[in-house]
Amino acid sequence: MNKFLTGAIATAAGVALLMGGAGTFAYWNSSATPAASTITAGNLAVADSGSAAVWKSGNTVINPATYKAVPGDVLTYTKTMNITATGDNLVATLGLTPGSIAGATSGAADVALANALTQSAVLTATGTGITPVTGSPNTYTVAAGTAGVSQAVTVTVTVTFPKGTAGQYNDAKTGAVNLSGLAVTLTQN
Amino acid sequence: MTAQQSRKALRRAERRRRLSRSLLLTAGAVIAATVIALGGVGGTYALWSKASPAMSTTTLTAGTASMSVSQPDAFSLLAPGRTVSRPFTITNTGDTDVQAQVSTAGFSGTLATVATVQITDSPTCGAGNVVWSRTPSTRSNDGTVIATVRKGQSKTLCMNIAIDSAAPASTEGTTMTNSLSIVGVQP
Repeated sequence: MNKFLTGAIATAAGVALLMGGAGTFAYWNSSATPAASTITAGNLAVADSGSAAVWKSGNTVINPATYKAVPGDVLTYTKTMNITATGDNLVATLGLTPGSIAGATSGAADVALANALTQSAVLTATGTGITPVTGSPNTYTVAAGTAGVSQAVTVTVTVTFPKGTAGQYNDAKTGAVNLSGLAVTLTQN
Repeated sequence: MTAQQSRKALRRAERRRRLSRSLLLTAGAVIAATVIALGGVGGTYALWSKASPAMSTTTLTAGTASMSVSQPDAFSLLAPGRTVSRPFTITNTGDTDVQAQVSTAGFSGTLATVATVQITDSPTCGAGNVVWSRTPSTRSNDGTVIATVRKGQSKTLCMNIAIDSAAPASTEGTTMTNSLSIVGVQP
């Protein structure tokens, strides 16, 4: 065979081997296995605490299903939630997404009542690792640290039926509204 | 070189070209695949987040303010210097306390010119305080509160009609029509 051709074939084979990348290499190598270890992920959760919410009109506990609201009523809803944050480097923001008041139906009395009522919500969270965010109401920073955070937080919603002027809310009599959408959120920073 | 040797050489060259081409294609495919895989990384984020509803849907219902007033029995046999009394009852049928007020009052007929009408707070039409009154020339202000009735309760008041003792004979046998409009207002 032509020496030139042989050399070319050998080169091509060598190049093919190098370009292919797969296959065994002839130079020395060595490997070692580190000692086995376990890595555990942390956790970020917010959940219902399981204790029932309490509705009050003024200082009197009421059952919202049977209570009849009238102008001048100030109703409060109180609920506890549990937050969990574990993770040595975990920092999260605890906040409240606002709820909504909507007429139970599109009927005039329901819509009038929805327009008359005002709602405000306050999230209260205290404990090690929980810090209020200055200038942002209902917002907290949760720093899990090595100990983690497992804490009950309280949501209080105040629904006010204004007194108004004589006859101002007459069209809201017997109306019904749905209160929904309020949620506690925990988001990793 | 013989013809056979040159044909062999040609075939070997051809094989080398095919081998090089296929290796190049493989390398190209690997590079392309790597680029695609790296390019796909900037998509979803792995940050944790959790939201939990703090208020499942709750329905709130408004009450109402409503009231009913009974009609007093007919006043008859009115005579000069004589007072006839009839009780009437205000019932609160709503969800809030109400203040009962006389909103409008009208009196017509010849007898009205010599009649004084009063409402007192005595449920038995005995002695009591006058909460509203009308004479032929004067009248309590519209909006005067005559009673506060708590939710679910009722209150009985007394209406008195007195004919002036100096009523002229021309008023004998005449009649009077009264209309009082009572409104309930949430205090």
